[in-house]
Amino acid sequence: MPTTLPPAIEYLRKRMVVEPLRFDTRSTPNQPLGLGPAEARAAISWGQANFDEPFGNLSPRDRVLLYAYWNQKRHLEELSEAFRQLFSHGRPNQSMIIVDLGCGPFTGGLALAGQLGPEEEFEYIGVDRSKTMLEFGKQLAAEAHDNDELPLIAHRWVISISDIDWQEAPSWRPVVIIVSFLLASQSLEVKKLIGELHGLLARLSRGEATVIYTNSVKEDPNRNFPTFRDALLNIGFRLHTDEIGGIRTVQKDYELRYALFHRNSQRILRLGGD
Amino acid sequence: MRLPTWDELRSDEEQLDVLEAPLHKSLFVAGPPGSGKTSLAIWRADTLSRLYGEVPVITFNRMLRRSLRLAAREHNIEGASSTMHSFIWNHYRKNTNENPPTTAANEYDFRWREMTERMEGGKPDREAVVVDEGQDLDKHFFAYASRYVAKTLSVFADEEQAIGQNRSTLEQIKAAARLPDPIILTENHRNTPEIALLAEHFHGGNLPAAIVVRSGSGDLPQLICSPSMNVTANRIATDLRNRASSIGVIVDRKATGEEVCNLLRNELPSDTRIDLYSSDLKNEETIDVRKSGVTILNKRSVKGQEFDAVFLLELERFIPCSSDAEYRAMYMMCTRARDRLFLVHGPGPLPPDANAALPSANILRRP
Repeated sequence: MPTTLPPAIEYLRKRMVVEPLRFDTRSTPNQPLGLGPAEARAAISWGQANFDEPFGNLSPRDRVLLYAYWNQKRHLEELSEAFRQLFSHGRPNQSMIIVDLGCGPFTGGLALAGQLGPEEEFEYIGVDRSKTMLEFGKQLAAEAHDNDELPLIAHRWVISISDIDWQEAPSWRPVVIIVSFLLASQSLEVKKLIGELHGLLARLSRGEATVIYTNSVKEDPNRNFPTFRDALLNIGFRLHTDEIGGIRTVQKDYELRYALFHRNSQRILRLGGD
Repeated sequence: MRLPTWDELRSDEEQLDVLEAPLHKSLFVAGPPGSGKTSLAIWRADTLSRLYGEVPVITFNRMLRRSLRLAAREHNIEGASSTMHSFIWNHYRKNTNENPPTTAANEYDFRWREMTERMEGGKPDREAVVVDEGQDLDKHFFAYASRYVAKTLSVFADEEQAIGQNRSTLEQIKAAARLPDPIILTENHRNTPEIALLAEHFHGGNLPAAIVVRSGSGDLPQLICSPSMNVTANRIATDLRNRASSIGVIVDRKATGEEVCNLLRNELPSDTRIDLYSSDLKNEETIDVRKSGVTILNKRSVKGQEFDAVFLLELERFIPCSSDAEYRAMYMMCTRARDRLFLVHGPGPLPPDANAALPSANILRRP
């Protein structure tokens, strides 16, 4: 069976991404904002652009919409398939906290919402260095909130982990961390990222934590994976899966690098003094 | 793409089950109210006793010793249990042929330093003992027990429920008894979510709130302003008539306990179980708090007990909490109730500072 997006997610994309582009006066039937695929690719540079800057006569918002149109769907499909498999047997018995690192416009949150169904609420923290991405993500989340087929999602948006203002006491809730194509970024400091993530997890929960990693199969975007993996192993995660595998969609088949790390609940209280 | 499922990840979750902890090593377990510490302590002692012969469970007071015995009987376990005081008294006496020294002010306060000096050079005479409600025991007890009583200690504790001045923190217990780091129990199987939420209002400490396993009852805990003790007793009697359940009545003053006990005895049929416990009556062996009826206790004796319904009287004497110990006491008392909880004050309104110490009406229903 090819991976497809749930109707509620397709509907959301149509309303929030496809139609605004189609009705833009610059657009032609096959060229959103009047740009062919190559020009659009240049404007979004595979998701690695600075989306808060204008590009030619494109506003930051235009660039984010183009990203959502050309790139986000594929990432939604990948993460939808990942969550479909993960939750095909068993669900957490408490509501999850999702930390989406390099979230783009709510990509991991939408994928999870589509797989969980309306009964399972979760809390979503989107982290992205682009404020324009976060702003559009917030609008998609608000739209998802009004959709009866999707779960209730409390959401917050920050440009870095250190900006997460979490006031609740740590709980036992499971935490899922999404790291989708983030390591492709040239400027990312991986060790610092994992150090911050470690501190964040201590504030959020003593419950189990799962990291889902996806990336291109190419070598360069994965160059920091060994550092990333070792830093996670160092803070108690176990690597369950590290593979290249196929994704089948209605349009085409392609390959993806993916990994899954898991850390058990922190049920031993470290008192020191040994 | 092929990822493991959530169930597969869960089955990888460390099997920290206390029952499977190695028997030849000391064990330290920290758990919130309703996490089943006492049952686990009994099972641990039973399992150890198959290996080593009698393994006693040592606890804080006589009501807890009674509960241990009742629970053991329920599980068909021939368990030995003891209060810390009587256990140590006998142990010291047996080893030195002397009575243990106590302070002039209180015959229950051992002079641990002297005892330790007297026992110097001694060795543990047992393989194992189990300690329940360890947070309320003096840290010197743990040092004494690990040196002279048993080679291994299995200690169950929740420092967030400790009530007394002599309480021990988890750090102190670990250091004194030379224990491993504690395993945390995460689930509360006792309280309704409504009661657990009210109790959380008084909860401090470093550990996350327990995961409440039971589903909601729709019954919020209630604040009751009672114009007289007659009305209070009437309210308790009505609850018993309507539900025939086990009711705990917690009082601060002994005189209040006696008054409510007499009023209930006048009001309810003579075959109704109405027990007033106090440590000087030493009547715990005649009481089974789990049976339908009313048990009247104080803050100290209600530790570790559980009831279908709890009436906490003299609320104005317990709040506002002015110290961590008072918060812990409120937390411990609220979590004694399985299904229904009533906080009772009066006559007259609650003082403003006491009222301000209570959570909002969506957590505690007001009159």
